Amino acid sequence: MLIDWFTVVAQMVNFIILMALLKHFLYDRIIKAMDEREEKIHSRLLKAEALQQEAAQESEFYRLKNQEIDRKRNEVLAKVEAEADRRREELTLNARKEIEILRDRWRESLHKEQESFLQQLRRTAAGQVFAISRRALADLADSKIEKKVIDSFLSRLESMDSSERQEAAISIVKEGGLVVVRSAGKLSSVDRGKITTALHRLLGGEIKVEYETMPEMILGIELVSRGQKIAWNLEEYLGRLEDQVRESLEAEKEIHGRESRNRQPTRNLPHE
Amino acid sequence: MDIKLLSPDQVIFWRWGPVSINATLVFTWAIMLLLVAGSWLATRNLSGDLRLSRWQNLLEIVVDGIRQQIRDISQRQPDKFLPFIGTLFIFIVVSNLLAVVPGYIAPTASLSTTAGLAIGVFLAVPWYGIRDQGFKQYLRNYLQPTIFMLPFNIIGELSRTLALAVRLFGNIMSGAKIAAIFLALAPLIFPIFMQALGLLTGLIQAYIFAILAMVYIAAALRVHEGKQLNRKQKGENSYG
Repeated sequence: MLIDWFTVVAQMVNFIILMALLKHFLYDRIIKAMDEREEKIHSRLLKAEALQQEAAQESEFYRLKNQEIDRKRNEVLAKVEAEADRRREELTLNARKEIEILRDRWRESLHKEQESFLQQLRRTAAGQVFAISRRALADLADSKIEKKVIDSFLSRLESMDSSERQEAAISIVKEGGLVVVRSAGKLSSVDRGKITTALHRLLGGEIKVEYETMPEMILGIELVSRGQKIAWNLEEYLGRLEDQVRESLEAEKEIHGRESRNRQPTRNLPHE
Repeated sequence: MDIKLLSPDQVIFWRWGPVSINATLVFTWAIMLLLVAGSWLATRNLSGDLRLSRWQNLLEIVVDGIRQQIRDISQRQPDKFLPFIGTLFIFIVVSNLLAVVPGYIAPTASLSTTAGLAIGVFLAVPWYGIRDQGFKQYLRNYLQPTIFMLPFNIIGELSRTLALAVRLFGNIMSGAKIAAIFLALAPLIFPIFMQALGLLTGLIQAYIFAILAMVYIAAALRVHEGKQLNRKQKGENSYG
């Protein structure tokens, strides 16, 4: 027979036993291990996800922080730049002012030097002019001119009014009655007589007349008593003229100095 | 050549009345020992870590593959059916594949073994059906769609069990027979191809047996499910 029923039953029992054994030794253990692994993987995934979220939060936090730092740095930089610009402008302005002041001082000193040089030049020039004039006049002075001088001297004596003349005469008499007539060149005896006669006539006959020669007078004649002097000479004219020239030079210098002092504070600063 | 002579049932080692210890039983025990010892060795040091041994990896692939198949067919949690279907598959596969060992005769080449397994499936269908939906509800399935279908349903149940047994027996037995015949005709090289073909057939038959068993069980469950679904829908409609 193809089917042995004992074997059939025995195989069914064998199968049930095998099923039980495999369930115990294979399926349950394998499934348990797989479940454990699955659980582990799941928990790891959860953990990884949590860590990822944490990392994302952290990165966001640092990103914001970085932005904040950038913003602050830019602000500080802008502030510092503005401050630096302001400072630079201030320093430039100060430097310009200083330069202006130094330039003005230099100009002023230059001006002063120029002024003093010009002054000196003028003085020297004037002195030279007078020296030359004196020399020229001395060279030109001859007897004709001397006569004219004596005439003008005498006419000056003549032109004195009576009270003036009397006063002079009194003072001459008081001092001893001596008068000295000085001239640049030596006077001839005719001229001397003429002068003596005129003096006696005008101031009284008791006065004594003496004659002296003074070449530095250049041209002219003068009458000298103690405390009295009546004169006409070129030296005196030239001295008076020189005095006037010096005075006018001084006045001019004074005006220049005042002008330069007034000009200095109103000077404008050039722009950049 | 008598077909009986090639059945392992006929190779009797010991007999005592109706009790006879034949090659089928001895090889079955050998396979059982191999499987249990192998499982014990492989699952001795199982770990739930992410790193695992090769044996564990292999067993996990096998077990998970079976579970996936059960899930696909039954659309249910597979762990309830895993010991039955998984043991059917593994036992038949191992007993078929060991055919390459010289002197070994596959227990599945014995109609007694395949009949025993088919009867097991025949009993497992109502067992799971009744456990799932109750005795009455399960029996009512045999009266569907009408009471007149009862005999046909019973015949169908029996015939498919028979078909299950004979299909496996026929394939494995014929494989063994063909191999023996070709060995006699052309003893060199050619039997190797037949052996390779026998291995493929053995694997496929194991798969078919296990899948059909699952399909029968799932069919018993699904009838019930489908009815419940219908009833629910009707109730909703009448209330709506």
